Amino acid sequence: MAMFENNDDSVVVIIGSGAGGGTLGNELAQKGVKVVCLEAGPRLTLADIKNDVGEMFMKLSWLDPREGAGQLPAGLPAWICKTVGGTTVHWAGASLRIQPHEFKALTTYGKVDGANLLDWPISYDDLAPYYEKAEDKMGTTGTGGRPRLRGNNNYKVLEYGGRKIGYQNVHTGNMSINSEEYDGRPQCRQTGFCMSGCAIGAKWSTLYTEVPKAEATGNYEVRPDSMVVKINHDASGKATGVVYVDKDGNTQEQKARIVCVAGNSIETPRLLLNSASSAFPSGLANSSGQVGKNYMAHLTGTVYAIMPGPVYLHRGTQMAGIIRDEDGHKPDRGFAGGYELETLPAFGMPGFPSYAKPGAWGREYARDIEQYRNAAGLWIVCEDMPQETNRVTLSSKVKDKNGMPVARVYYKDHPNDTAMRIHAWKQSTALYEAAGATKVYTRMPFPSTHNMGTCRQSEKTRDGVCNGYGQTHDVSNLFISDGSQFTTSAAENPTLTIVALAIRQADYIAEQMGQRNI
Amino acid sequence: MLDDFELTRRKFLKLGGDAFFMSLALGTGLAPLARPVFAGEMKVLSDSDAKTLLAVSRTLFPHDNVEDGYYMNAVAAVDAKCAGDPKTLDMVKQAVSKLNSGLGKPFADASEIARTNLLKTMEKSDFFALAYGETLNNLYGNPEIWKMFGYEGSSVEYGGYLERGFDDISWLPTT
Repeated sequence: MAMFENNDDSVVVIIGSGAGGGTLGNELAQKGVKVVCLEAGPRLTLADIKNDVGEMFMKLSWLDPREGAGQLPAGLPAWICKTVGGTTVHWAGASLRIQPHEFKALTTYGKVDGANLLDWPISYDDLAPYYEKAEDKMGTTGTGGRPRLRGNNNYKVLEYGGRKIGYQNVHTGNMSINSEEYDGRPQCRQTGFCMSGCAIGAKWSTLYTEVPKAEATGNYEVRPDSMVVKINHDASGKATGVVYVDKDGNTQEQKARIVCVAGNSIETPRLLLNSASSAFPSGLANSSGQVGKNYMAHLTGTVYAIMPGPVYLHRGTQMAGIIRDEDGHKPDRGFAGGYELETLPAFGMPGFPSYAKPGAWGREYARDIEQYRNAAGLWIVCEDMPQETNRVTLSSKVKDKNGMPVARVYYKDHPNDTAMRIHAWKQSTALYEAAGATKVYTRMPFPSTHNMGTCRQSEKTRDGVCNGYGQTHDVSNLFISDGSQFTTSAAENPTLTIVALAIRQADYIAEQMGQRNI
Repeated sequence: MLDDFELTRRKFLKLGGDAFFMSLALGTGLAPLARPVFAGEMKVLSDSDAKTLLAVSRTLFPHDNVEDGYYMNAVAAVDAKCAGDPKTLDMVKQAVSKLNSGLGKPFADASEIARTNLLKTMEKSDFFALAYGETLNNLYGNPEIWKMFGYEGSSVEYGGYLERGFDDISWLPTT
């Protein structure tokens, strides 16, 4: 395993080890590029992963202080991870490609009042070969000849109700969870705790795929418990390295030839804003003023239903199936863009009584809790509109233990979002009622696990932060390597696209390094 | 050992946030008692206080087939909080006194409708938040209760559900 010196300025520094950072690091290391990955969280092993929702929430989540505003919970605006592997330890595994028309959101939907819509600078065709590479890397089911997973009880309810109300594009999804042994990892045992970390490694996570593979090349070093607080630059405006606080609380500087930021869409813009200097007074790579803006979280919502017989929805993969009939752009529904319906578990107990109807109590509610075994559930995932006012800024009040201002995240639904959620709730309710539900609970979003768009790709410098390769418009050796790059959110779970973009970015970086352009 | 994990948990609880996450954090690290705690074992609360709190927990989540002992775990958790903080003790004592003076008879002896209506007037209070959170997490955090209501807990040690009924649904029409 390689170890690099802090003053080695030939390395590529990658901040974050999740879907974006973890993948990029391995791809570069495989090409012979030297990489230092700085990860804010600790490094766990499979032995640390337990089938315990609460324990794993505390072990994996990013719980450093943040401020939520608008419609977000004050203390925990997003549910993402701080650990080697990042949010790929926690993700449910859904791996959907963004649809061709969604890359052209402005062209397809037209101008939407109050939204900051833009077409991506890349097209579906640009990304298609990288989607295929990503699916092969992750062992995505339903692609590359890999069989889909078998559906669990919760899926069967979704499928039955869905077909009853006329849906046809219903299946067990494209999941980066092994339907058969793949890449040295076992077949899924339908354990039922995907989002608490897969204890057997059947679900793809950079923690036990990309990171160890990168280490095996001898070109890669990951430093856990290393929180980057600032990116430095020289007089010419090029990034020269990063300042980080190591596991012992000591401040260090790692020099770099190239810096890639993949801290998830809240920490990435925070770091750029915290790296303001006299040359970049409004934050690094922020000449457009777009750093932190257009924060998207997917418009989500949850539906739980009490069914006439046992479901045991905790059994088996949590995102066990999907209905895709609503994910097109059909303006006659009264909104732009579309949504997916995906099964979701109840997170067991005390999860189910805590949030089927948050704050509820009394005899009627107790009776519903007694029917836990009959509960079914799904999650609504909708494209949300980019809005300049939905944004990540630096808190004026709260600093972290390193003295850096924490992120303040503001989010409020756009009227298009609200209209779509109401449509999705109605359809989901109809679906469960068609399958015989005796009661249906609809609830507002959980803190978001999908975070996108705060350093978006744009063709023109004034419209966004980076180009179609994630290279920032202002600083040629600074890259955005996570979901922050997303120009629009599309309706699909973002991880597959983050991985595909990272593979494409690695090719570009290696090529540009070879040509001595960066 | 008060490890990092526990410290993080405590720190997080101070942050506030979505009830969902609060419940996850609160539920963490609980070691549900195999044997229910009974009155007479309270640290600082009287047996009479405990009886009132038991009635509060039973009013919040009334399951007729669940014995008092399971609810008493929540009461014991409130008692433990009171033992650690005089202000909490004071707050709980005041709430108990209010509960017992509001219905013309001891709270525990009142009808469920009367108890429910009185508790509704206190929904915004710190006492309610404490009693609600502890009941939710201690009652539904107990593996014995999971069994009763059909939650099966950790599965990896049994090889997951692949061969244990993940797709055994039998009541759906097959058409």
